[in-house]
Amino acid sequence: MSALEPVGFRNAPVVLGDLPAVDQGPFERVDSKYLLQQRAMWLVFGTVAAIIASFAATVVPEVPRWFGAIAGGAALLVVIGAWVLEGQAFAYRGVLLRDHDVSFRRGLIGRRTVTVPFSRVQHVAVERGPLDRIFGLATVAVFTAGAGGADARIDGLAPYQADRLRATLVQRTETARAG
Amino acid sequence: MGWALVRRLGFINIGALAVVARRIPINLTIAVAITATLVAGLIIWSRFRYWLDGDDLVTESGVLSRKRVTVPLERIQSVSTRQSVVHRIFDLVEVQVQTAGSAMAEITLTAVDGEVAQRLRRLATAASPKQGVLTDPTGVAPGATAEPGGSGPAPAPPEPILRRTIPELTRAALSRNPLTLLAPIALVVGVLVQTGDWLEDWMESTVESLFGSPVIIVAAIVIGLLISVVTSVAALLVRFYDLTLVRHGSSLRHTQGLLTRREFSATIERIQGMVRTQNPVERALKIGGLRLPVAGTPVAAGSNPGGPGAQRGSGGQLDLPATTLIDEAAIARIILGPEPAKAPVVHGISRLAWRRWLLWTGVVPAVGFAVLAALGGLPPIPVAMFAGVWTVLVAATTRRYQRSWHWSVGDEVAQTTSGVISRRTIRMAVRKTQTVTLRQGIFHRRHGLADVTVRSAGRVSVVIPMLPLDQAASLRDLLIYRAETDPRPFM
Repeated sequence: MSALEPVGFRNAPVVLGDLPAVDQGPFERVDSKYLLQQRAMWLVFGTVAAIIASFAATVVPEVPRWFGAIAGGAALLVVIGAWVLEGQAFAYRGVLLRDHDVSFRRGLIGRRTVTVPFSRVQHVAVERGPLDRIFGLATVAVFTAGAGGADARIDGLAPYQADRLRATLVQRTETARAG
Repeated sequence: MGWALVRRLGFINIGALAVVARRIPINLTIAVAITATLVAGLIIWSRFRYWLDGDDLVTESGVLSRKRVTVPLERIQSVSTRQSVVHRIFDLVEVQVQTAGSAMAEITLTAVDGEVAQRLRRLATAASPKQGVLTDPTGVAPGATAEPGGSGPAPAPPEPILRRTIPELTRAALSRNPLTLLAPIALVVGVLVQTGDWLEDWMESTVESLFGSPVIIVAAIVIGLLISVVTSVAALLVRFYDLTLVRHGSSLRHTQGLLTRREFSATIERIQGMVRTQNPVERALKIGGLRLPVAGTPVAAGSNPGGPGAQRGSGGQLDLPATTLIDEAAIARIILGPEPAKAPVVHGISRLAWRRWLLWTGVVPAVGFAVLAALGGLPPIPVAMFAGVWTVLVAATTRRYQRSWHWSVGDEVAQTTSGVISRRTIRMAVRKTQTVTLRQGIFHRRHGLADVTVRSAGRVSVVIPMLPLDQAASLRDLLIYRAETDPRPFM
């Protein structure tokens, strides 16, 4: 017997197909204002880029006139592409609360799903930056031991959602720790 | 504020500033700086108190603003000691008391009797509720025998798991220094330089004008190599001299150092896994560098304060150079449990990975270089040849690199091995999983693949790249299931 085996430890066989799958969800979408926020950011970016390009083309003599048109067109294309991608990313972005863990998935081009068991949660924080406040959003950050920062930063939640999620996480973490 | 600024700058630096400013004569500055340092030291020392208040360890410090730190004994995770040369002259030690929460040592007693450290450790172990789940191999409660200096009949000191002698450390230093490999090359070059004709022109035009004779430059290279090798051996010897790893009940104690002795202990549960790195020389000698990442400790023995080990919250590690496979197996049995009766299935990684690595490390840089060259007006044929050779080289090495990747996830241990020239093996106890992450880049999504990252509380995580998406998802589900259902402690 190793020193690592506690009294009463059992190791029942696990059938892989019967395990509860994170991918079966259902993942809950974040607040729709988040999509608005992201698209607005892209619009601002596109506008600023177009203004700079046209300014350069009209004022600076070394820059040819057609450059402004091309740069403006490119900015427009990027904004349109981002507009569509953000829609898809929003549909993918979601939180899944299960009995014993929380999962968060997101991704515009690359995708990422992080799963944190409640028993591993060290603390939970609700953050609202200036942008979040303008759009009426909030971020829930989940911290575990040994990580440099938050393991899951669940952004794009409505403030009431964030508060509820925080309360649930804290309560379930306490239960998981006690049990 | 002002005082904090002065302390941060240090009297010596302020003195140096004054000297630079040439306002004050240098002798006076030095005298004032030394006196001020002594006086400040005396004042700070006289304002520091520590005592035991029931079950709490309390310290009080600060000259103008007072700071009081209270740590319940049962919360103490480890008591480490450090003994610099000055400490050893006066037979004192520096004691660092660590708790799980903070990134820094909670309490540091700069210079106390060695007896105090022993007593603190005894008290902390006796008060500890956190080892209740562990059964001691000797069948005695951890608190009773964990200390060799404990009350009652002293038990025989436990056998060390690992002890490093000077020849072993020298071998480790030699195999770690990449310049050692250059020594034979330098010899060959030296012979060539003195006998070969083809280097003559080049030698005459550059070297002779600089150094006068080829013999001198060869001697300089050899001396430089020697100095580098000797300093690296010396540095390793000073740092790891008399490295000993001993098991005391449910914790490991690690001692090392020639000038400054460091002692660090951690409960076995807090060690999150094992990372072995082997360069070709180490592989030939059948040794390797072994790191044991420890959760919740910022600066473990062996890590530099302020170095990567001090990164916030990421934990420190025990550094064990020149570890043989036998030693490693013994340590693995302690940390990861006994080897399973049935060895876990070892997988390679998807062949598709090759295409991705080839694309991003071979084709993209080659094309980029060719484009840049065309824009810059370089001759196209040599550039095309270079790009082609580069791509072929990368193709050959990425194929080997991809083949070197192996992973397995058993009931207890997750493991990956990778590397063509330097080989790295990461092992992690599955139940110490903190989070599991599935990642997909563009390439992954096009080919239905995903990377699985399993993170522990220490500085060790296992990354399994390029799994088919469904396999990655079910691996994640399995790992999460194990983390949630295993009742054993994970930190």
